[in-house]
Amino acid sequence: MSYEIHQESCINCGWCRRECPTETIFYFDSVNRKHRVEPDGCIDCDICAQVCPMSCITHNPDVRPTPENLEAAKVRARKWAGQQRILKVGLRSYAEAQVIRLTS
Amino acid sequence: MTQAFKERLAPGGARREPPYRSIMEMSDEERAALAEKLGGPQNYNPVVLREMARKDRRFFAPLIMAILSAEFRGVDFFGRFVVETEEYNVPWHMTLAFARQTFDESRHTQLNMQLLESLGSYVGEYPDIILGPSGDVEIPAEDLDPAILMARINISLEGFALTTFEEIRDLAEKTGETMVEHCHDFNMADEVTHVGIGDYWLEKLSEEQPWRATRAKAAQEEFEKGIEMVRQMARQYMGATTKQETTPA
Repeated sequence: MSYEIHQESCINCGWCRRECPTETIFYFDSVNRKHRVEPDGCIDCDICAQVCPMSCITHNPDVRPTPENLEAAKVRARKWAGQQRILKVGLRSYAEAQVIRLTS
Repeated sequence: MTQAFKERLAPGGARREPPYRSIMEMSDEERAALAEKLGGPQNYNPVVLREMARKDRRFFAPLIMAILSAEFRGVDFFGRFVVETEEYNVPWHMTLAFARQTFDESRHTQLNMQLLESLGSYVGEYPDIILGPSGDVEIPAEDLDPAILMARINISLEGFALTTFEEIRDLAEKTGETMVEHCHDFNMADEVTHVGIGDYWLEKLSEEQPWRATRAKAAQEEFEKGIEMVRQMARQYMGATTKQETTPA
């Protein structure tokens, strides 16, 4: 299953593109200057629909990636999640150390 | 041809009391005072401050000042943009849209100033996070094209601001800072409108002059690459200092 961006409502804020764990939302190569979801890379995670401030991303059960593409996309998503975790944990531990140093 | 409006304005840049004073302009004493409060200038940015505020609420004040700095810059930038659209052949209601946006930025400034006071701080306690009005900086003429400015500032930069405001709102909600939560929810709604204004007018201008769309998209891509490079550097720094964790399959 995949998601679709309704072109007439999209304001191109890029939030979905920045949050997509498989980097399957494209903008700069689009012909009509709008964001689009490439279904072959969509793992159905729903993050794009949740962050969209215009609520213009909806689920389309009729579009499905091939099993091979889906597996490749999941691998990319795991790698992305790992990187996000490193950043989050690193930032929090750095900030915590700073606060402890300043308050002690 | 009448004299351009901006030439009829009194000389001199925008003023604020206390005046703009970016982190780069601090004296050694001010730098030491900031280090005592925040641990050093490297911590004076919204990303680190947000995490410090998660641990201790007193770091909400410098966090809000960091945002307020950008709002002051927004008033200056969009105010100038309203005046400068006179030099381009753009519809008058586009100018009006940017006047509205300038008003929004002023309102955000007032909201954040009050918020700062409610957190026990004031404008001037912390430096400005970015440079002030850049009246003396020469910007290449082609970069002043309204389409380029809208792509970079309205769509790209304000698009990123959506994420920042949402992250602060979410943090405030989790830590019980209801006033911060409320104000940043309000600000975020305006930012959505600002991105929408930029996108709408970029589309309109591009209908008549398709080259504008191409150039604007290229300018936005370049701008976003710059921001992504900074994020990538942060990831690498954190990756080097944090033990690698595996994510379950």
